[in-house]
Amino acid sequence: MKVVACYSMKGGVGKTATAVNLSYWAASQGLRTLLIDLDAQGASSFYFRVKPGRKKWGKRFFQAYESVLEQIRASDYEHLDVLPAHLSFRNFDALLASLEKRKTRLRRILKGLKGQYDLIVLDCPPSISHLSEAVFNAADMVLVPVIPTTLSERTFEQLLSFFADKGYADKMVVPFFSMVQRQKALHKSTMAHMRQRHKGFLEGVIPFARDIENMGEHRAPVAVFAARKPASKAYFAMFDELSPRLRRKGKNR
Amino acid sequence: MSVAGNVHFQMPTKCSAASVQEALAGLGVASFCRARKDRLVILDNFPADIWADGALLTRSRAGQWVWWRDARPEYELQSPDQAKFWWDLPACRLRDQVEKAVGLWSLQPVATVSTSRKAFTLRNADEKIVVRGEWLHVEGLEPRLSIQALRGYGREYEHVCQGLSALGAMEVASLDLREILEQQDRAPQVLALKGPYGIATDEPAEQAVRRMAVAMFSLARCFETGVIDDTDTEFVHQYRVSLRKLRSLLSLMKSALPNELPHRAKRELAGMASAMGTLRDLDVFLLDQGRYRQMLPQVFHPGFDGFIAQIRKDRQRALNATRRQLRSATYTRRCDELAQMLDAPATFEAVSASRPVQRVASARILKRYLRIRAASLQVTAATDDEQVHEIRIECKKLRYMLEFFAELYPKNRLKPIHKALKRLQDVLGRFNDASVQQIFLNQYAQRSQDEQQSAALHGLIAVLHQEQLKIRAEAEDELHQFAQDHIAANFSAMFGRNGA
Repeated sequence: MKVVACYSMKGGVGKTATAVNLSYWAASQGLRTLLIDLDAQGASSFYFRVKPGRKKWGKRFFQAYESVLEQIRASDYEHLDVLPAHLSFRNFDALLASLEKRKTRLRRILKGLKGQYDLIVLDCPPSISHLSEAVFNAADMVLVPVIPTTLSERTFEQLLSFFADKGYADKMVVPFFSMVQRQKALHKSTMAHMRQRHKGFLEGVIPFARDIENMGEHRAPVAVFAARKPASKAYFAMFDELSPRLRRKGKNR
Repeated sequence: MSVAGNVHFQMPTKCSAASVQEALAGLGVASFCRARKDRLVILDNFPADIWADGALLTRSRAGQWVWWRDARPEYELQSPDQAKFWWDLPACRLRDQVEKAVGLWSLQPVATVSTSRKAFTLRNADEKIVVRGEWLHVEGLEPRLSIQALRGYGREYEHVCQGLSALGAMEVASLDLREILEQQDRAPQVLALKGPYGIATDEPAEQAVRRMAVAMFSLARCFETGVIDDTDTEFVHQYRVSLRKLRSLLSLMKSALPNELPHRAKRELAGMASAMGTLRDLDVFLLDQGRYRQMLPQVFHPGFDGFIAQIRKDRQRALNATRRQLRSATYTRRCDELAQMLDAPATFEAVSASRPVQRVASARILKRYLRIRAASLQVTAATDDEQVHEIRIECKKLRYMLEFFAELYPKNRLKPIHKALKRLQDVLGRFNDASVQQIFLNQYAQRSQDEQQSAALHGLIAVLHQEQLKIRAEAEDELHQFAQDHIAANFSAMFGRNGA
């Protein structure tokens, strides 16, 4: 089982769209996939039309994997399940702060799901916190969307410094360009410049596209309503590029 | 993902998809997709070995092959080709199963089942699918609705099940195509090539042997149509094997039969089987042509290909001759006479005619084994090939006897004997094949006027000769193994005076 975290300190960079579409393609290619929506806003859950239960169960999230199992819902697509976000997830940082072994708790919980899934995708909230550290400890790969602008470049470098300070392996970090507008000179030059400075950027880029914005209207992955459009093809290309790493046995870290 | 909790409902006769939608309206939006019609072809070989094995092989119109067991799809394959033999399918687990079950027989359609399927979904207020299912209509049966529980939506699943029950739907087991075919009296007829013949241990020997002979002769005649139609090579092979086995039975059990019967019957049977000898030899060579081709260096391939073309022509001629024979009035008359002769009431003239069949059979089996053992112990590197061939023929007769009378002995005790004999026969069979093929090729080589072809044939003869020499050492070893004391003790214990 592989754990992929879609993570960025910045909001609105395409984390949720990536988590949703990557999960969809993985499942459609036969990987038993679970998308965990860790962001209390619940955008991925919304895209899959999955609602959480009424009970506040956030407190039990880090106690035992059985609690997590109870909350999983089937999506409309074969091999794909969703763990919907609950509003109580907004307290995850405070909750983790009060717990011992907070960094490894998420990893232990996800380990319990090993026999049931081949891939777990974490849709993370935009912050750098106790929850982020729990995510970095649990993930085999941290997939980071980067908009090719100066501010995003700065945020990405802050993340790399954080990894270096805390002693996390930087090869876990897999950045890719998101919301790319090729007609913009800034985007083109930033991409060239960043590819030069940082190895490991994915070849595939996700374009800025209306179809991705339309996911909210259709409440479905792009491939379901715009299969032949560039955005859909870009997400498939991204999955295809990551596929060998997702299927490889053993730790990627 | 679905979780455990799938259930199948048989819907009342007048219940339509629309009435289901109406009944479940309070739970959300129930909808059915457009019907997908299909025609499943059930495939099996002529003796229906797949069916006898408790499995089922189906091919859909779209080329979906499924190997079923216990009403569940065990292996699946997408192959649009109309494969006739197992080797026509792409390599996969399903092909392995087919190979194991049908061997060299061709796959034939034995039944068809027409189906119509509609995917069913129930969506909640968010238009999220909360229950899935499938409406299935199999020709001649009541419609069924299978409901699948989705993770996290157990309550909705329960409600749908309750709604369907209220509609008069009845919970049933999952659809079993085998059961349907049996119910509709369309199950393929299993052809038992190796008995049982329904004989009892203390039955008078003549009576039992006559019944077995009649059964074996009828079996041989079952293959005639397949030979005439040239359905596949197994029909000729099994026809000849059945006649050969029948000759062995009559010859080995002659002490239980009236004097003239075995002689007359054997003469007739030899005539029938020999007419197909050439056809079978050519089939054997063609079946193995790929291996022979690989044995030769590429430079000989054009000559070899020319030879194969010649073999194919000769096969067609041999087939035509066989067809003429099987269709002739003389053949029919001879068959009728022979069947009458075998089926006549027992006369109990012969010495062993009234003795219990098991005693007579045991004595014959043991005698045969002891003869093979004595001959095997004398085999050395200097022994003539001819002598090894004679032992091979004796082994074949022993095997036939064991197969004929298997039902009189405990299965578990026969098994190790069968296993040891099979091992020996495999080696002796390969040894014989290598030698027979050399003679076969030599006949062609002497007649051939094509230089390339002649070179390929001589090359192949040389390779086969080397192969034969290698197998010869293996055969000697196996013969000594079969003569070992523990196997002899097994035979004595089973077939001796105080045996089973």
